[in-house]
Amino acid sequence: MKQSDVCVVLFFYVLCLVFYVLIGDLPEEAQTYPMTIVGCLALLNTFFAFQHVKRFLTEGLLDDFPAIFSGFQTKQFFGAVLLCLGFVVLLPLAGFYVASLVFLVSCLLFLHVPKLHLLLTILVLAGLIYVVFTLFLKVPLPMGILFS
Amino acid sequence: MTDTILLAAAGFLHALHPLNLLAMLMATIVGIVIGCLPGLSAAMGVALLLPITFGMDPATGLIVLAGVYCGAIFGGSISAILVHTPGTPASAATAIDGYELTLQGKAAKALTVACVASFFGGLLSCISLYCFSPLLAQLAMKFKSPEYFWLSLFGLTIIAGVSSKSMLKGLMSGVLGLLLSTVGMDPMEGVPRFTFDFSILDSGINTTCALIGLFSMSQVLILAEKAIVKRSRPVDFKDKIGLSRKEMKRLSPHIVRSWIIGNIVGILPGAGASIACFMGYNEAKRFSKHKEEFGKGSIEGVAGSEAANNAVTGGSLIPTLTLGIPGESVTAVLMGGLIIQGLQPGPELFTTYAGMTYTFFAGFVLIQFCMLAVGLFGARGFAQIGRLSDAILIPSIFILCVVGSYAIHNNLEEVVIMLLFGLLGWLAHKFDLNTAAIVLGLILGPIGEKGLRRSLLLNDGDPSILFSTPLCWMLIGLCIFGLLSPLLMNRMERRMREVNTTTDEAPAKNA
Repeated sequence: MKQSDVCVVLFFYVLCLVFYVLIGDLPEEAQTYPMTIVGCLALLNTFFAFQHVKRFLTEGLLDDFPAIFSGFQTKQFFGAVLLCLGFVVLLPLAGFYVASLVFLVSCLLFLHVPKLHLLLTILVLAGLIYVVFTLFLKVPLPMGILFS
Repeated sequence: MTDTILLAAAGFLHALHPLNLLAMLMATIVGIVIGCLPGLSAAMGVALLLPITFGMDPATGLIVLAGVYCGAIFGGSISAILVHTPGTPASAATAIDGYELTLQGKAAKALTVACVASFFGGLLSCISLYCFSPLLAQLAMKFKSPEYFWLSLFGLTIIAGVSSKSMLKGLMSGVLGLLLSTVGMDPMEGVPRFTFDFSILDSGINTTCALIGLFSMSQVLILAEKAIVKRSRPVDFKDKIGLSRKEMKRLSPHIVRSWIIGNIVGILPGAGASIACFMGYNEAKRFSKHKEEFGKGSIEGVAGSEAANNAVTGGSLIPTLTLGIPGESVTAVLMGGLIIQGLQPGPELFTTYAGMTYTFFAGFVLIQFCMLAVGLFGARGFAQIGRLSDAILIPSIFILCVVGSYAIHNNLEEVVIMLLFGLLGWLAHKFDLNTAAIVLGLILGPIGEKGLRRSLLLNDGDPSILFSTPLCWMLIGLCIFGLLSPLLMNRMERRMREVNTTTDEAPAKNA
């Protein structure tokens, strides 16, 4: 039995429990269908757990996380995720184009992209988004509280 | 019959509109670029381009998505041939002989064969699209609420069963999608379910946001976790692009055979281009008069694989458009595009919206010509684009994901939903869950729910209505087949491997 499968089983049980509690708040007529789905999920999860308990008795618990996360670049991954989240936070404040510029420069520098490539990426991407979304689709991209 | 021919002719007239031609050319180029970048999939490309199609005429929008789909499937062969790295899993078999040809200084020859075989594979698959879609749509006309319930269940069982290593994990992924589809207003009672007082969730989880998150945003996270490596330089080829008549004659039977294989694989939900390419390659090897060339640079091997993976494209659209059952993740995203345009897959596409459907079919035919022209003349350029670093792709794809999900309703809350689905897609990738099944559950959930609840309402809550017609029983049978199909697929795969080892061992023994 693999450790990752234990996580899957736990995740689905927690999910079923959360939805089970939430279903209780619905009017009685609206409860049947979601309850059936939650029941199905819990049943399938139990089958899955049972299948793996049988394996646990013969093979024991295997730590497969090193294999799943082999070559995982912790600093790079969390750095990129933080920059992405920063971009989403900055978007309503500074507006789309300013936030994009800040995000692209910081992210490309963080990922060690040469300066010429950095400049080209910003120009191409800004041009593409302006032509497609602003000119063609006429999407009002956020202007930001600071500039509106 | 006459009506169909007239509709097909009108479809061609509409598809030949300059705007449509420009759209298919651009989409094919974008698709090839995505395809030749290792790590990016056709589904990711189609999901990323979904929001761009909102403002377009439905037929043009679908042509754009199909252009990206076909382009990406072919594009994967460029990096497979030139740098021995398949751009998409669909080109894995092409890399075997394609790269060997490159090492022999015949890169242009290999690219020409891949391009011509892809063209014919895709073009011939349109024949079945034109012939079988209306027939299947006629059958779907007989479907009522109980049949729609079973149909949605069938779609879910087959994709969940076939495309996962563990059938139970596949089914759990599908049911997770069904559970997420319950978020929003109850269709019968009109009460909000699991919306946490967010008005954006009243109409349910936006399918486009979910698609962009599951297929594109998750790709950003997958790329960000891996060490960024410099891609190898593609071989600078100097031989001429083109095929002699003799070579064409040699390749023709393999292309036709692979077309049939690819088409059948495409129509079968759950199996996809990555399976078809190996089947096409194996059959080309089995029937070839030059078996000794396979693995050492055979043009027949390249043709067999490429014709098969492109023949999947037309075939996989048949169940998607007529029954609303996408065969693989790309067609699931394409179906999402159809729903976004306010169209429901099914018989209506061949009656009320027949004009739009046949324009799309004609566009699909013309896309193959675009792919041939762009592929033959632009291979050198695409090979260079294929070297684009992941460090540039990570922020670029992310920005496009954010703009795409924001553009749907000009709402930042949907960007957050997209991010959450991105995280779900990444976790699904890590823990071997099936993203295609989650999407399918999300799409088929409301159809199944309406089918089930309407049926029960009509029969005073008595479930016997779900077993009342022969069509219901046929669909129940298909559901059982869907659950058993992983066993059949495994057996087929094992047999194919055995055939391969015996044919490989025979020449060695003779030597």
